[in-house]
Amino acid sequence: MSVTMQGQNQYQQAPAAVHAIYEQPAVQLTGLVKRYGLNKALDGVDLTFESGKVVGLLGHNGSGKTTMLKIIAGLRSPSSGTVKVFGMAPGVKTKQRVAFLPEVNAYYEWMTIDYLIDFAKSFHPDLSWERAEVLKKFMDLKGESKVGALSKGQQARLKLVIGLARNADLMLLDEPLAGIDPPSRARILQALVGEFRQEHQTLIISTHEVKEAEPIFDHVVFLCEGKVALQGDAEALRASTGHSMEELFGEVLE
Amino acid sequence: MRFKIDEGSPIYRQILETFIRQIACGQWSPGEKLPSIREVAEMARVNPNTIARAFQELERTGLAETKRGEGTFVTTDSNAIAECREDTARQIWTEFLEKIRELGFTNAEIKRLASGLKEESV
Repeated sequence: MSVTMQGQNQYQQAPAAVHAIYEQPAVQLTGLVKRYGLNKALDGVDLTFESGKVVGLLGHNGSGKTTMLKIIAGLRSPSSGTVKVFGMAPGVKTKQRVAFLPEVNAYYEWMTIDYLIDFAKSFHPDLSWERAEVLKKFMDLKGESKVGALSKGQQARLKLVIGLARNADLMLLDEPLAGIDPPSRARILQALVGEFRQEHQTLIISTHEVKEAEPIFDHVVFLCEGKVALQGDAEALRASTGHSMEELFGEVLE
Repeated sequence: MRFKIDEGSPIYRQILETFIRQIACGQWSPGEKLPSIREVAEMARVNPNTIARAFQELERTGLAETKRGEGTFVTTDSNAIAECREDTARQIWTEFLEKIRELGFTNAEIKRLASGLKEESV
């Protein structure tokens, strides 16, 4: 009897706990400032990103996009202000749930793609081989190819394979489309849309190429010189302004 | 399935209208299963939350219904489909009238034009 009771209690508590995690914003930034010498890369940013959304972080080069992503990833610390990822300060605990895909490629050139996936799995135990296999096929990559021999578009696709195979709760993608050929861009966007799991995942994607990417955003943030120039729900902005996010990008940031 | 999207107006509404028109013209038959939210999202390269909203609105029109765990199906209610067909025709007709009136056509001229078209097609 007591065993059943205990079992029931656990069962009743589990959904509540899941609910609590889901209700929490994925990211909360308050009064965020980051100084590099005399320069302010971020100058008083207040933002909240709900869980289950795809966020477009839009701005020109040098607007503070990369700095913001690195702070959320826990790779930089803010000069002042607070950062909360799933309600916690960025650290070991949040890093297990966050995947950061930098713009520059940091992979060893001598590795083959399969070796690299194995290598990545050694420090990201959540990486799924099955998912990596599916994504590799979708991205038209061969396991035996050497990283150093890949084109820029193939390298960008490989980065996505490894990032998406982790299925992290928060994915931070820094300029995943910059300088990449149109077929690769289309593939990347299709994979992002197909793999995104709104039940638990949040994506923050920085880009200055808005046109192709904008249909995949729920929420957009326009960053200008370290400040938020405009933010909101993409569909609501379309309805209220009659403009695309690309057009708003031009209006707000130029 | 191809989607032409104008990013300057809400995307969910365009997806919704695409499905309404396709159901109206019989491209999907009564009771037929529609592609899943994820399939449409991938085809159109649009956020799945946006597609989900379009599907919700489609259900509200009564043209489709979602069966839990099975997917979304076109309604088998032939009246609802007939009504949708009429609504769509009326919408196209209104758009046409607006455009042709911009050209300065009067009702009599429009009628003359319409009867001429009828003879041409016979």
